[in-house]
Amino acid sequence: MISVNKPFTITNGKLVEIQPVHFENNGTQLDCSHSIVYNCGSTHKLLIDSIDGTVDLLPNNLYREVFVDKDPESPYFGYYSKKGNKTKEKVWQEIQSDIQKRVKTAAIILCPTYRCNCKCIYCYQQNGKLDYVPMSKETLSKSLDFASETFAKTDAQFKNIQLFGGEPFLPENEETIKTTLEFCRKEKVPIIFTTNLVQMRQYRRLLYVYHGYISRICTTVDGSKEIHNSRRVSLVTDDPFSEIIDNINYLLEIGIRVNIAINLDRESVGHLKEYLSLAEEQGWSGNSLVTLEIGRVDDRFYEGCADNVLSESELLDKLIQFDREKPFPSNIKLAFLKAIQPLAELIGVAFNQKEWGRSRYFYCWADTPADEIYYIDSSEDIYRCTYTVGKHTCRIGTLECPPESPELVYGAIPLLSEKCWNCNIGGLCLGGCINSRKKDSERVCREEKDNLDYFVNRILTPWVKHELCNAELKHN
Amino acid sequence: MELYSDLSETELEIATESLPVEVLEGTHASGRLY
Repeated sequence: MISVNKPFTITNGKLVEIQPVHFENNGTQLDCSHSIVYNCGSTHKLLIDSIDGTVDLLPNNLYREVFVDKDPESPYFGYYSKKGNKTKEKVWQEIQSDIQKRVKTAAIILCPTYRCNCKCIYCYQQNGKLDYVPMSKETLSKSLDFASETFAKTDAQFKNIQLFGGEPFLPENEETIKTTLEFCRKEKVPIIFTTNLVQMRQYRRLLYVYHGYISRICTTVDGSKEIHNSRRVSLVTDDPFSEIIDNINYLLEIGIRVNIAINLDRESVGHLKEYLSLAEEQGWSGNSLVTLEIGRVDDRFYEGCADNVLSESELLDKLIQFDREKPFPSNIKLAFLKAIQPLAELIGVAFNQKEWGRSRYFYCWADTPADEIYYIDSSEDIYRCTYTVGKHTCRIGTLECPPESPELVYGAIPLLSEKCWNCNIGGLCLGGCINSRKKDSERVCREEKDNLDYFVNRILTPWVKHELCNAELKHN
Repeated sequence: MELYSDLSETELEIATESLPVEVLEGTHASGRLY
């Protein structure tokens, strides 16, 4: 039985009572520099420790005793004195240990062309000055040699080749795709395609022949036919939607795993229902070959190419409401949580998100110096991050002069910079997206604070109140 | 599974091959790396 007059911490979707710890006055100071406090109704405070990623609920009187009066006689002063003193050195050691022991991946991601047969309204590649020349045979051969060398010298447990773009399944890419599939067969590495599937039909036979080497195919369906066709406009057909659905079902028939993503923004989020109904009608819900992935439209470079962007918290809030009305199928997976991910995990609303390659104190997999991931384009330029591909100023090397393997450097960790370390939400936002930060760091800070405020006020606080209410009901 | 009756011998051979499931499902199983 829990009493609402006690302090609690949130663990695995439950409020767990905090036990007092005997205080020994050994000079330890109470450190709240990484904590942020919110009112939870008129009786409690929520204390979020951004470095630990913990959320505690304290009755106002206890909060005052420990954090305002700093009363060593308080039964919980010892608990917080002991807990709240993470130093940069400790975090640095945790990061080193995590990077060292994690299972690593090496991936070579080829962009055979930046050309595309669609003009999606929110595409992040539409504003760049991309080089639309297709990859030559010579560049493909050099790229695959680079892949062989990378795979030979890496200690990564998992290796793969990926085809990205632009759109890989364009008719003119046939030779590139055949050569790449044969390379995967010889090297015994799996291949992943990221495609809109609009012109995949001509590749069906090839995909059938090589299906045993295909790890998965990642595509996008933005809801119903009407919505999809208006947002993901095709340059080659009036009805890409029907062709995509047919191609997805063909892939499933021959046993290939398919990621079917929906990209949501303010305009489309209301149509998630159509996407879920479609998944049910087509037999994709709960299908072990299918991952239903929920993505967030974003505008990492602040280029104004996605005017209807929802923040992480706003989108999560909508998804929680959907799930409450009708629970999501088991194969749903979020693919957008960043700063609020540890908090969403705590209260059980992360919906299977697992961002492989991302370490706890980094914003994303791309800024975590662990996996060896290289995007290579037809200009023989090499990129690190999905959003930077094709933006010449963001390249990290070339095939002639490839980058060094990712290396952990203390001074390059945003959280350990003075600005982020001294910010009480730094341990959650972790500096935000590096691309956005380079463009407008103040805006990143502002948006991350708004994002956290929204999460706490609209998602976390109602959840806590609901739990407290249940506890009181049981108590009475 | 026989979807094509006109596959060449080489194509047939490749179509029967497969990488182990744990390799196909390996960590970075999604194009978005999630």
